[in-house]
Amino acid sequence: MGKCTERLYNGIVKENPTFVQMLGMCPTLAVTSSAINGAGMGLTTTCILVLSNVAISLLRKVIPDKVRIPAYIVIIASFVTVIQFLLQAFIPSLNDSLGIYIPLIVVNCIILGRAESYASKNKVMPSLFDGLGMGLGFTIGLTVIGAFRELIGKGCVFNYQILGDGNLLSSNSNGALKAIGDVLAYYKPITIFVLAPGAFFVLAFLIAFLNKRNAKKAAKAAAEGKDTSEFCRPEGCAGCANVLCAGKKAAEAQAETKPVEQKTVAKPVEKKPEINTEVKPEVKPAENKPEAREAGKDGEA
Amino acid sequence: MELLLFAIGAALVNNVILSQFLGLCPFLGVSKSVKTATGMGGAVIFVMTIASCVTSGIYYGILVKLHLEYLNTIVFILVIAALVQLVEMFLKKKVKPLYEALGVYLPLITTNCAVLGIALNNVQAEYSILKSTINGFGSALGFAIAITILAGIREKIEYSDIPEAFKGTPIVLLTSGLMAIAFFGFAGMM
Amino acid sequence: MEQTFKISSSPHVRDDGTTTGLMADVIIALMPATIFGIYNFGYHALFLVLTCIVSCVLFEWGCQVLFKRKVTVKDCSAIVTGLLLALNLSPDVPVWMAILGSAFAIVIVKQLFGGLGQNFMNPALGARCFLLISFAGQMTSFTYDGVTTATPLAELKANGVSAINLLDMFKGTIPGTIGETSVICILVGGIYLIVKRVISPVIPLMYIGTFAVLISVYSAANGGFDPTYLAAHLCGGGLMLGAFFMATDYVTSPITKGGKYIFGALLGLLTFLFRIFGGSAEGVSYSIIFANLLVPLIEKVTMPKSFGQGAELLKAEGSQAGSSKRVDKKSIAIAVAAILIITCVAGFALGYVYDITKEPIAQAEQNAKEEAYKAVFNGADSFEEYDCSDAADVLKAAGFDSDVIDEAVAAKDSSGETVGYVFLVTSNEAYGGSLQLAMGITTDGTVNGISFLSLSETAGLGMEADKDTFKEQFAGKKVDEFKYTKSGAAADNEIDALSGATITTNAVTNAVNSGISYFKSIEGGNN
Repeated sequence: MGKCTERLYNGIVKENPTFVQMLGMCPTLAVTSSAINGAGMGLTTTCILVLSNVAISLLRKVIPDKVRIPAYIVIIASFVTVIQFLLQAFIPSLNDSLGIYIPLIVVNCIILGRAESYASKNKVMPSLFDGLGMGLGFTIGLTVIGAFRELIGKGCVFNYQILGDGNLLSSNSNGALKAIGDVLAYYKPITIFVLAPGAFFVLAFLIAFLNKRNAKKAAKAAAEGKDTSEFCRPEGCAGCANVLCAGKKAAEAQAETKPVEQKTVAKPVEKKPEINTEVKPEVKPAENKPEAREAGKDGEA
Repeated sequence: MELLLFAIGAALVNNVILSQFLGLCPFLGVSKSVKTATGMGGAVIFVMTIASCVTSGIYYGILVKLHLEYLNTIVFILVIAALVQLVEMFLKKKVKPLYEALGVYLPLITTNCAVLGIALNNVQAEYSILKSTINGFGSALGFAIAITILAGIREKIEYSDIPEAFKGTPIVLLTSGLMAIAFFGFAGMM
Repeated sequence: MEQTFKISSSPHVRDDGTTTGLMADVIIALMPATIFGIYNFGYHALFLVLTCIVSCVLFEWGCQVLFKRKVTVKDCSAIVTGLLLALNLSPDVPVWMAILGSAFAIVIVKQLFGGLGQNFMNPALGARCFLLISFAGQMTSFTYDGVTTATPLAELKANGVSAINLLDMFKGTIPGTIGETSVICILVGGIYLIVKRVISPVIPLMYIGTFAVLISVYSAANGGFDPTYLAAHLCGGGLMLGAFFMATDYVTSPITKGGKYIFGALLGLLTFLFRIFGGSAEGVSYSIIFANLLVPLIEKVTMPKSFGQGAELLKAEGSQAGSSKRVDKKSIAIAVAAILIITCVAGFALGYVYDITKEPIAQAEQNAKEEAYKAVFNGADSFEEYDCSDAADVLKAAGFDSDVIDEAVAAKDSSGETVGYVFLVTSNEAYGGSLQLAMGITTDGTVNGISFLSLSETAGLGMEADKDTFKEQFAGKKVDEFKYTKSGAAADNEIDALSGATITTNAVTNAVNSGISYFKSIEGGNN
């Protein structure tokens, strides 16, 4: 694959910011109450990501290392403000529904993360495509989650009523389709899904599903003796949130035998969300439990 | 009195994490133990209160006077970054154990959506400087409460028999969802 | 010499209590309330009870099979969860909702966190609150004797002590959820559990006691202590059911003795706050699940110290972010210069873009406003700003303290004649703070229609105000002022209140009335 298409594939599939890296959680939960909001936010972020990646890549040899993070932030913030103006002028409805989350794109871990880990070290064209790939991956993630929440919580997708009262099929068609529509009309929207708690639940199940799928793939690969690093990130396993991966467990076992070297950092480093780095030795409690149960059986009458 | 209720409202009714979804990265990342959670909560209260006050002051004092309101995003984020640096240096000198406990999460407060988000909220809602500061304090208090509660629960469920696929982030998100449901009780209390 | 040493974890001293036995006692204790509930509400209540129990058992069995755990449905804990959930549902609830609630309680609140003994939130109440948020309307509609009525607590909040009958509340022949209505039945069950030493009396007594004290103080501060008011609050809603059966759940209440006292007191305080200052009349469920969240922290604070342990040391956790900055003046100067340059460039660039986009932004805002005006006054050709600075005085004189007229425009036809007005009114007494609506009113006083510019009420309840069916009630009416009613609008100036959203309805109605009032003052001046 050409370098640029490889970047696209990486961002959309292999290192998808939402599904694989689990970055940018704040907007993921906040704006996915409907598919259109999710898509809008995703595309807006993509624009900014591309612009900032290009700018930072162009300036990468000029910005002194000490102040690179604040410099990146200023650049990103400028682009965000520009995009905000454009939205206010030309798509005010999107500006209203996304509200405060547009300026908050400045602190979106994805943008700063890509700037730090890719754009500052690579040429302009690959950086552009990297930004495009990550942005599109993020957009797909947000849109999918948004569509799901909107469907269950309101019965609509992109504002088209699919389930519940007055749905498209029951209002606009005849015969067999109308009959289906009438059956679909019985659906009562579960409002909690477009509210805060619902967002947490949907994301939790999504990540659990992805964890399970990755674990199966990794187990299969390990059984066949293949390299499991396809499912791990190039930067290493330590920051990965997937506790099931055999590679991660191996990396941790290794890390425990020799002390981990810490980079001396002057400023905030890679935005790896260290969500769950420690896996407590699961072996011990599991061993105790069956014994306790058996002992219990003996003790009870 | 009204301001006190306003602060409590900011903390519980529109909780910055569970209602507004701001500050999720540290919420999920630093909540593994109650000690670090309270430390993080304290740091955020300190930073957010001062940041709200300073950003609001700069907005009304400088930006509005010079008709440069549109520069608020850039200015705010730089002010916050500077403040976090100050807090980091202060902690390193005076409260070293806490500095070490927070580790890499302290500089992350800079990119914490909560601080910037509340600062922007303040000027958008056109709060006076005093009200902005109280809002910042109240919101950060809400953050601290939520993260401490989550840490307490996470410590409790650490050895629980959670299904493999849910271990790690998913169960923490589920816990947050249940917390969000519980906080709904405060809705309509203003 | 086999098995001389039995290696197991604590406890090592056991009595013959089993989980199944405990659960059986709880079920027995709940029987009076359940049977009365079925008697009070009819067959559908029985159906709901059975559905919940069966669903809970099936979901627990399913989960344990799926997660390859030992199947423990025989310990009857799922039966108890199902029973408690059913007792907390309104008898109006459809069967599928009960099944969904059971799924949430067992799968999400209990099994995903590890199963029996490992959940941190009361499953039945967690499910109830989940349903309350998801299906607000249906979960808060209580039919009694075929009529949709308000519960005694709701009556108490709205109309005071005179609207309720204490004896009925004690007996239980009142509307409410299936299991909460009969205080006498619940007390019988509660005393059984205390006597059989299944539950400790600390939590129920602390809960009810703290709550009673707070209500008495509140009552005394608001027009003198009224024992009927206190008794009504004690008997009403889910307080008794919650105090004896839900707050005392072993898994989700503190183990420590001191913790139980704190937990009970906290519950009393929360229920008091939610009931008196909250939006709904009831507060027990949310109080209990919120207190559940605090249990790990309460236990931490009240844990008895083991012998020899002093104060805990502050553990250093996480990685060390030590930084070794070299103080090098030259590099600092370069760094600062770089930042300044970048910031200035960015600033100028932004200024330039701002200038370019100023016009389109203003245009877009103007368009949005015109659309809002047209929505409520589509017969007009153009709109001209009208000076409404006198509106504040007019509204104050007319008694509209919570409404503000932000803007007014005169709607003009093609010949420039004023055919009416559009007012933008903000009401500050909405449930979620404030709402803003636009209303069109023709020169003869007919309200053209209303449309919302900003509405942030409860989803499913107050947000229904944005539906055409509600807004149309105001359209095309020429009245002095609108009144809302819950018993079917009859007269021209009456509109049907939103079910379960009286506060929102009140705010909207007052906002429209304030607009009419201001209009009259304008027309009065013109005439």
